[in-house]
Amino acid sequence: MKLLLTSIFLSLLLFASDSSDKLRVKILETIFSEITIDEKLRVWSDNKNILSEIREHDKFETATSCNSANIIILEYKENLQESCSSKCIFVLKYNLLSDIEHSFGALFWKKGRPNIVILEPRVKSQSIIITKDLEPYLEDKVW
Amino acid sequence: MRLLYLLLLSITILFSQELILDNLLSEYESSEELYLKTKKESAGHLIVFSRSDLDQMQAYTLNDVLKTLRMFTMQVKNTGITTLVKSGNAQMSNNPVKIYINSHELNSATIGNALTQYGKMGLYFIDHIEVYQAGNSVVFGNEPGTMIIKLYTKEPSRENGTSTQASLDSRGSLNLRALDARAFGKYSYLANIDFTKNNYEIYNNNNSDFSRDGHRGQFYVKFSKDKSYDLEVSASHELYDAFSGLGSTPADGSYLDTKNIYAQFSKYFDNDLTIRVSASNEKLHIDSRDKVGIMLVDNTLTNSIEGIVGTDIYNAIVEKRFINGANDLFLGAHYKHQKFKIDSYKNAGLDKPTPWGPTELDTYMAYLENLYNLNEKHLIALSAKVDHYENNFSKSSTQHILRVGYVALIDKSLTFKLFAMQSYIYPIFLQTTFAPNYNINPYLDSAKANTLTTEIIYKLDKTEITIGGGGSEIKNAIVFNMQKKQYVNNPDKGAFTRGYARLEHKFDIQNKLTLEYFKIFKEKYFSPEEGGLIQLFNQFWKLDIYNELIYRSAYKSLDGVEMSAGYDYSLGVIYPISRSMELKLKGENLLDMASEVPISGLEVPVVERRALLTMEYTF
Repeated sequence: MKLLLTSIFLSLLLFASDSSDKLRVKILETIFSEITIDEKLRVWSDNKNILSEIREHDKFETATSCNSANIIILEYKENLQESCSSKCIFVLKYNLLSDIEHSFGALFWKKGRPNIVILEPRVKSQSIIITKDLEPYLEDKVW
Repeated sequence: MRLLYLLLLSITILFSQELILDNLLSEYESSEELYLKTKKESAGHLIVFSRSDLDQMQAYTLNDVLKTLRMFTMQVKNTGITTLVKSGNAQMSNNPVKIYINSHELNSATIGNALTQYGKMGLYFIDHIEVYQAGNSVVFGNEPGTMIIKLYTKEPSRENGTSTQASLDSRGSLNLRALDARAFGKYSYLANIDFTKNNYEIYNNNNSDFSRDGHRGQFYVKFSKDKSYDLEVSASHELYDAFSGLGSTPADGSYLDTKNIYAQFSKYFDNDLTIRVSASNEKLHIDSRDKVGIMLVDNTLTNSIEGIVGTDIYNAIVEKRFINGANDLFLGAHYKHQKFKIDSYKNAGLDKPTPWGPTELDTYMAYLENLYNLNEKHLIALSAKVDHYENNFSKSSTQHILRVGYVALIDKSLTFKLFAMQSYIYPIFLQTTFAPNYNINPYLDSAKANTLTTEIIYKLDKTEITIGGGGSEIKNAIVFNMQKKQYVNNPDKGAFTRGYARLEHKFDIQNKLTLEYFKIFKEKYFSPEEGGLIQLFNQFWKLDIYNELIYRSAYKSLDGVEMSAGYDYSLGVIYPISRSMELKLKGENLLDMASEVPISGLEVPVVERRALLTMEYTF
């Protein structure tokens, strides 16, 4: 009740940030729906909000740890266990594409706008199949 | 027919997912706009220019935004600088508008009007702008202003790169801008550099050339540690021809040279405690030469006046916020030291010893604001501020601000705002201490202002309608007395009322329309009393298209010159050549009918007709 009363403006703000989190997950789910790997996608993320939102939507199976997942949404490099570093990794910061050689794509901010990049050589080397709809976001290399 | 249907269907399927993703990205960008985190609905009547608005408007300088503001008209002054004049008022009227970059108030002590000094400031490092009109909250600190303009810098973690821009206009003006911003772990930085060569039409009257051409350079650097501290350093330098100067037949060699530098350190502690210290210095050098002569206070003429003046300002601020259930209490204390410097004052090339007014001013300010939520839909805001001024002319005074605000979300679509405020306007340096060609008045008192404003905002699914109005009563107003040739306190009460209506309609995420109209009611008008704005933001194919029409009514100037109504129409188009390159084209005052001001027998628009071509490259 206290939280509800804290401030009507604060609550408006929370609402805005809540809907933006949902939109981010919607973007990730749309990307993943255009991706095929050898087996059915099992998603894990070091961002708990993203993971619980995906679990709630029930479009993709989720994993409780990166070890039991086959695709990882990663926000911070330090959260990536050594044992998971060879899995399919989609990152939330552009510089992680350089830092994590196995990452194949990113949803990130640049010049004040959210962007999507899928790295074509890494997708091919990891046998990830993408649909034509993701082709506009393909790049040859990390900038 | 069936073939055509199949073709359309396959095209739709082919592009649908890409379109879905692009639309989702646009929606995500819109939901993450930084203004959603910084705007304070309870702090006044708010106009927001978001990042995407500024981009699509091709707002390169602060003036590009200010000229659209309701209740004001942008005008050129005799010395070629631009200012915002409150509707109906004369250009000489006091206009204490405050401009902030993040939480730092830009130093405007020397001229006392931030708008004249920072109008040409480049906006390449600015993310969004919030404008609070009438009845402003005390939480912004500093001396009170009739309007607060808050410029928020771009967020390095959302930039992650280097961007450059180059603009060239049809008059040969050139502008080069660069921005580099990155975040690494908890640390981030943002650096901006901006150089402009401004060319305008050269007018000729009575065998004198009137030029306001000039150069301007600025840099801004911010280094931050997340939730710990910000260090900001900025400087600007502008040198430009003085147009008509202090006379009416300018001779060659008249110019203004202004320099500003500031540094601010903000430290954020746990439990909403903030400490800020800042230092700033500004210098103004005016050299005005005239063929016929510049009238002095003793009614003699001189062929030149040269003055070098400046101000040092030091600030120390402590602010603390307490949130307890439905109550949000904000406390602040602020010490400000201002030192005015008159380095040189010459008439006809000779030093002119003149008695000046107070050159040092200490201000001690204490303020609080309490926001209390009666329930989820009703908010009461109570604010109080006490400001004690002491100067080295043994004149001290204590002023206060009281403010009551009420904001109600009546239902899902209706918001109501009401603000009542008792405030004051403190005299400025150019009135009390230094004046190039009129008498100073060190004994000026503050003007007192009572303001009552209200606003109703009606939100539908895609449309927002705002209707607002209010009035102000000013006692002891600071006015220029032509007989005494100095600013004096006017014992008569002055009053005005105002009304406005604004409609914003979003057709979809990329297309929107703004319509606005305002009118001011007072006894005498010396600038446009009514105005309007039409803004149309569109995306067609890959093109971002922006249409803008600014209307200001006809008026009779203080000198009795009848001026026509103004219609300033601008059109901008942005074409993304590639992911990293954009081509931008903008036409300003395309009808050549923008509102004008009479200066020494000329009629001068603030925005001249011009075409502007810009290339932007992001690394």
